[in-house]
Amino acid sequence: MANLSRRDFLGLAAAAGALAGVGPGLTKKAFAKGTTGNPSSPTSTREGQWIPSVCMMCGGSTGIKVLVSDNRVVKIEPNPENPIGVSNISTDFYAQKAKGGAMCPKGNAGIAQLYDPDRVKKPLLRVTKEKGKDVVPEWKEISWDEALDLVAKKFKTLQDAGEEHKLLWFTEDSSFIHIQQDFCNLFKTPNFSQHSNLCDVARKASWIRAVGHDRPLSDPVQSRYILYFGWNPLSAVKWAHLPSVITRGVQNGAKMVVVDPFLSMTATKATEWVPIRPGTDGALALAMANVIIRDGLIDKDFVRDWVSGFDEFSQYVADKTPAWAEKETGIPAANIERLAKELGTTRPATIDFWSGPGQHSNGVFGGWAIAALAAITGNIDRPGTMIIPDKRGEKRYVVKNPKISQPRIDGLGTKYPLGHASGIYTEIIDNLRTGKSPYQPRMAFVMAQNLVLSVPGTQNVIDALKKLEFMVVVDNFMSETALMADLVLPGTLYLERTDLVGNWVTWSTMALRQPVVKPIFGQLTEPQLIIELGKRLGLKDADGKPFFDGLKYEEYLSWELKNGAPNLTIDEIKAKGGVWIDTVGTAYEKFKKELKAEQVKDAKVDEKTGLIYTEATDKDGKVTKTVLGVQVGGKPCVGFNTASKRVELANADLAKKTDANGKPLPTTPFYTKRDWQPDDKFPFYLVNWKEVTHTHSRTFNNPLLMEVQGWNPLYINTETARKLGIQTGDKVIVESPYGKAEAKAQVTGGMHPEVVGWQHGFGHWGFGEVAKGKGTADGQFNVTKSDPVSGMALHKEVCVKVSKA
Amino acid sequence: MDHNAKPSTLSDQSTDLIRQVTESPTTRAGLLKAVGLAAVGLAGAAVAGKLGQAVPALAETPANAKTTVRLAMVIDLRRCIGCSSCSVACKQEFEVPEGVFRSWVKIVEKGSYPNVRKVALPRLCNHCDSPACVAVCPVQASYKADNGAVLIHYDKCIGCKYCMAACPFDARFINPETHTADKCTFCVHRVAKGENPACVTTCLAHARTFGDLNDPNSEVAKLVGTQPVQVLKKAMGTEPQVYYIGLDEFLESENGKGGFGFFGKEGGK
Amino acid sequence: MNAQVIYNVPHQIAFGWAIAMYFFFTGLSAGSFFISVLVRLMGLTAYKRLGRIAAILAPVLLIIAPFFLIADLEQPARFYRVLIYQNPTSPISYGSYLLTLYPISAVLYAYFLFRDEIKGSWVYKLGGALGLNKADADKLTYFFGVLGIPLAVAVHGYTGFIVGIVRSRELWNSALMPVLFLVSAMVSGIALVILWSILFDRQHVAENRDLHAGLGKVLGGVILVDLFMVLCDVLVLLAGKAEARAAVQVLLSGSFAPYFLGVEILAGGILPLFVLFNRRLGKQIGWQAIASLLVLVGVLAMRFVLVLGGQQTPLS
Ligand SMILES: Nc1nc2c(c(=O)[nH]1)N[C@H]1C(S)=C(S)[C@@H](COP(=O)(O)OP(=O)(O)OC[C@H]3O[C@@H](n4cnc5c(=O)[nH]c(N)nc54)[C@H](O)[C@@H]3O)O[C@H]1N2
Ligand SMILES: Nc1nc2c(c(=O)[nH]1)N[C@H]1C(S)=C(S)[C@@H](COP(=O)(O)OP(=O)(O)OC[C@H]3O[C@@H](n4cnc5c(=O)[nH]c(N)nc54)[C@H](O)[C@@H]3O)O[C@H]1N2
Ligand code: SF4
Ligand code: SF4
Ligand code: SF4
Ligand code: SF4
Ligand code: SF4
Ligand SMILES: [Mo]
Repeated sequence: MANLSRRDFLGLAAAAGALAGVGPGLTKKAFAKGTTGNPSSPTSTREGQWIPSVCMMCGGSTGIKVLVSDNRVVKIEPNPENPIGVSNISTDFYAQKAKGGAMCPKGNAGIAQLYDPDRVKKPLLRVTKEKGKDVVPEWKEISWDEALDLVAKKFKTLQDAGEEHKLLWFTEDSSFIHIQQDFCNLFKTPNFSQHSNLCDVARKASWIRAVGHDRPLSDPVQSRYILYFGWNPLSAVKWAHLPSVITRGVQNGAKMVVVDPFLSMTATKATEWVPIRPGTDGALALAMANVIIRDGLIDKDFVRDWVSGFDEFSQYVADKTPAWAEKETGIPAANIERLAKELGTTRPATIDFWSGPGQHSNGVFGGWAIAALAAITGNIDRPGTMIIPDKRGEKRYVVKNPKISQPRIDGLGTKYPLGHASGIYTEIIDNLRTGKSPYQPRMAFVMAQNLVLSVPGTQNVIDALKKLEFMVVVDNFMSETALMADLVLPGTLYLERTDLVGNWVTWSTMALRQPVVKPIFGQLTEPQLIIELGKRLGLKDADGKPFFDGLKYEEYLSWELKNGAPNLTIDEIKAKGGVWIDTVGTAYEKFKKELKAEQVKDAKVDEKTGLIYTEATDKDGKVTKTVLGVQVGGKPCVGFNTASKRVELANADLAKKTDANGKPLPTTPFYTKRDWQPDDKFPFYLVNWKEVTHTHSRTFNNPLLMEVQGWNPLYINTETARKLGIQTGDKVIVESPYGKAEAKAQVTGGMHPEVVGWQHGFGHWGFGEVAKGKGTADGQFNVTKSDPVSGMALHKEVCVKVSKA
Repeated sequence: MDHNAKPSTLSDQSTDLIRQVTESPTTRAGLLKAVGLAAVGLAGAAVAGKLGQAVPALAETPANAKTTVRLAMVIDLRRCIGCSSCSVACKQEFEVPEGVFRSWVKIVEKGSYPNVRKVALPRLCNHCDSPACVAVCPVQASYKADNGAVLIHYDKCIGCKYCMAACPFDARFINPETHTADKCTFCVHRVAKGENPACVTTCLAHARTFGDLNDPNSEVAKLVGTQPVQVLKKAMGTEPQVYYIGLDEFLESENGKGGFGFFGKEGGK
Repeated sequence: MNAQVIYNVPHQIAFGWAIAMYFFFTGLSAGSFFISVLVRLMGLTAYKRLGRIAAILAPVLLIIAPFFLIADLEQPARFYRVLIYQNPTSPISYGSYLLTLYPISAVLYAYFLFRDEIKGSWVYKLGGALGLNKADADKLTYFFGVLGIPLAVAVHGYTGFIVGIVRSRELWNSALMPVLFLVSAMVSGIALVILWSILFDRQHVAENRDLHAGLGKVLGGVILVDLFMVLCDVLVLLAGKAEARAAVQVLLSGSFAPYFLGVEILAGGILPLFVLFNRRLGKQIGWQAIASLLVLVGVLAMRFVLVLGGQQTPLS
């Protein structure tokens, strides 16, 4: 291995020694590392170099500048040359960047993550045979060569047996995902799954239904009315510009309404908080549509020209009155009327939703109902609405993939009709645990994911992972998932490697994540270790050419960048400050863009639908139709990326599909109660959320962040708590059919009376000394289940009993 | 693009600011010191050598600059989202040890369901014009610099904690690493380079604005001039120079009813 | 309106136990000194023996006291700086001069008081070397006694100022503080002298008993004044603004109530009063000892309650 010089290893040994000497005051060390903590020597003044890069404390990829002094990262600050962190609208970006960017607390705490003494430093081979939550495994340090040889040897047994498909692959998706896909394709396992399925595929499915794009972005800064359902962007920040564009929108005079059972920080900053019964957002949206249509408050021109299926939708919502929705949502009918009228009469409005409605079993069609509100009010792809982003970026590296004969084990695309390419985690886990799938997976490779705490139903996940013959986890920490592994490989952090990132604002931009320090324990970067593994396994493309031999990751990325929209090499983008910004900027009403004359030269126009299409007849006489756009107002427009080239509020084809429960899909936005309802035994809805100080389950050993937020109390409505005899600080027992645990109560006026809830990510038994034993893990109460339409993991559909301990 | 050049929203004023912060801050005090020295009859060269020393970061002294700068911060609570990004950035800037804060955020919930709100109050030293801390410091380690910042000579501080007891805002602490009083410095070392303080630079909701109140073109002067601004505990008479927009009187009357939220208490260790 | 802090960070408490001990010791010293000088100035010859004990205790206690102050410094090696630098608005600053002058004066007072009895000792020789043995001992005792009184007042009064001028702390910020400090100094000083005499002047126990009883009545009187002042303080705070009420509630019903109501007021004030003014108990050596011990514990509690209890309400 070229990059592991002896010096690196010696350096590593010295570093480890230094850390070992710290003793129990490890956290303190993380605060004042390498200094006397002398306030006269601030970090940002140290001699060194500022390097532009991209944060990945969460997937948000905010632009950062990193000061490296004496080979150490000493300070991280926002990089206002990168739109992520400044604004998601190009004009606003240019206007605001002089005022600087922004960074969340996690971004600021990146240094403590990098130099955390509890990081995994060397490949660790499991010694202890048993696996389980209560097992504290013993590990043996091995060399990188030994580790990679071992993985290759194990995977080889799959190849030899023709059982490549029995390898499961899971990965996070903020970076280095293409090379992993390539690996799986060439290894010939279909079971490559990633992040999105655990994240927002319900939202994706909803928006694709409506506008043909899976991730329209909200533009609050130019908006007059901001309506968010179950989205908490002031805490679940993701892109550091969100708080400033949203608060600026409100300051500019927009009314902001947040629908959420919990008074999130977003709800608190809104003009109005609408507490809602969980899983009923679809009903609220339909009732608002009912009023808007009833009162003629729709955007008539937009609906006429750009909405397909309006009549079916109108028919469907005709009886979805505010009075009906009051019964479902618990929101007074009069409020629903008023909100609907406000929305119907205030333009532009930006209407969005994320995990709140999405992580429920009725999420996709409820989300479509919310999108429908945007459609009928014409609030799509116009300033201040929901913008369809220009996603041009790098070009996917081209590989000739061999055929894979075996199906996935999770029913993606078959059982789950509107599933996302990222897979169906709960199906995989359940199949693995119960052995009910057509074949039983034997091995798994987990890259930068903590399945045990991130997939609903903790115990099921543990029981499933136990069934694996061999599991590799690549992680920076001894996560709860790593604790189940046979081999743990130390990952790099974002400050130690090269990645390409882009596409998180409304126009095309790309940024380079640079290694600001060498991997501090001499680790291989994740892409390198994939390449090393691919080499060892001799993986070949469809032409029989060994793919990984001689492949250099920088060149791979450079190719992607050069052949993509930026047309730059890695060195060139580096020279430009690590950021490429398309000068075109944010474009609006792109659906109205006219097709070029030569494009429509031979095209026909369908009288009824207005679709512009060409026909080609092949040698067997089969006619294939290619739809180019849609004729609107006498003009040939590109339209939306849907079948009808318009925003769709109905789609008859859906009736032909059935969901995972065998039920035919509705053809319009639709409300049905979520599956799991509270009952006498488990009377409370349990929800969870993200706070700005933490990312999922990964930041809980970070002393800087744990110092500002070190616990996740269970929020209980004041009146509810009074009835239960519970006061703030009391120990309470939370129980669902799947788990039972202790928590601490926080009594609050900011919670729906029928709901209790807390922050996701706490309750570790792995990671490290700081993380362990803090707060309560939420996933243990869940059922390992997905919504039957898109396969979205149901993180927020839980009912529990709460009692004083 | 030069990435070593940091955003310099204060650059117009920076030369002035440099002069302000680098000026020896305690001329009068220096005299008193000399008198005290003679009176006690201790004229050890080592001691004398220390006397003229300013805060190390401000030590290069272009002498006798004129007082024109009055540093101030405005925090717009209508925008602040209570994220503590300011606190963490500040911690990282100064490697502030665990358990103590130059900047922190308090969050109060007011009202009852469903008419309820959370209010966040970011805190730091107010750099008071009439600072209670400076008044009680027995050895003149705490001082008000000519640019308005209230600072500490770390090499002079005896750690008597009287300033901590006297500050009405809990702004000070003993730095467990250096064993002297410590607190927010208004990031004068950054200001001297024409940069914003670390907390302002990172502020997630752009709620913090920093600058020279004496410069009519500065953002802070505009905000203080045109917005309803408030300061904390006006009745204490310390004349704070951290101004708040939208300060809920309620946050202050909360004083005394006390109690900590979970996070501060259970966090960290 | 309903309100609750749902998030905050803890802050350090500035003054700790050592400051309370410092206040306690300066108080004891000042109190003892008053007694000694008063006995002499008023010619209370019967009390002479007690006065002599007090004269020794005063400088000794005061030499101990600053060690608590220094121990509380985060930079104890830099303590000398308080003498080099001045800040006229800081009681700790000018107090450091009082802390230097007062013990000198108290030592000289004690020296002249005892000079004739210690002839031949090394102390006497040292005094001779310093030229102290020529002048008239009586006159000088008188001189340093009189000089010492304002110094003692200042030394202990200034500690009252240390807390009294802190406007952020409702429990401290009162003009009553220096006076209250002096009164409680008297209380503790008298109690200490009585206790000392009982414990260490065994051979004169019998003759001292009546003296103790007499001094005990004085003590009782001063305790009454002390309690009255505390009552005034509490009542005014209770009628004050929200912060003041919150601060005093810490003592009345909060975490410091046991120390304030139980130890300081009941055990350190009311119980001793009962003993001291009781015709029978007041004359019994055992009860005299118990009473003065309780008084001392009460005053110690008062220092802790004031210093630590006064910093309990968060300022942010
Ligand atoms: N700080 C931080 N930021 C992050 C992340 C992180 O881990 N930490 N993760 C990033 C990622 S990957 C994602 S997907 C996003 C997610 O961002 P969000 O979608 O905002 O995620 P959550 O905070 O999980 O949930 C949002 C809100 O939904 C509410 N909710 C629960 N059930 C319901 C319901 O039935 N109806 C309604 N209306 N609301 C409901 C919760 O109370 C919560 O306030 O955040 C991103 N940003
Ligand atoms: N109950 C509940 N469950 C949820 C959610 C919820 O709101 N409630 N949210 C869901 C959502 S939206 C999402 S997106 C998922 C996210 O779920 P995951 O993708 O599992 O995210 P994390 O829990 O942060 O785990 C990431 C792991 O990768 C490691 N890691 C981080 N960075 C790197 C790196 O650069 N290299 C390597 N090798 N390892 C790295 C971390 O140490 C950590 O162990 O969780 C979902 N699960
Ligand atoms: S939101 Fe915070 S953690 Fe996420 S990328 Fe941006 S700065 Fe980093
Ligand atoms: S960083 Fe800004 S928005 Fe966040 S708590 Fe601090 S002042 Fe408020
Ligand atoms: S806030 Fe406190 S420490 Fe800061 S200047 Fe004012 S009194 Fe001094
Ligand atoms: S702790 Fe230091 S700065 Fe504070 S009053 Fe004492 S000597 Fe002055
Ligand atoms: S101005 Fe500087 S020292 Fe003060 S709170 Fe902000 S970052 Fe911290
Ligand atoms: Mo997510």
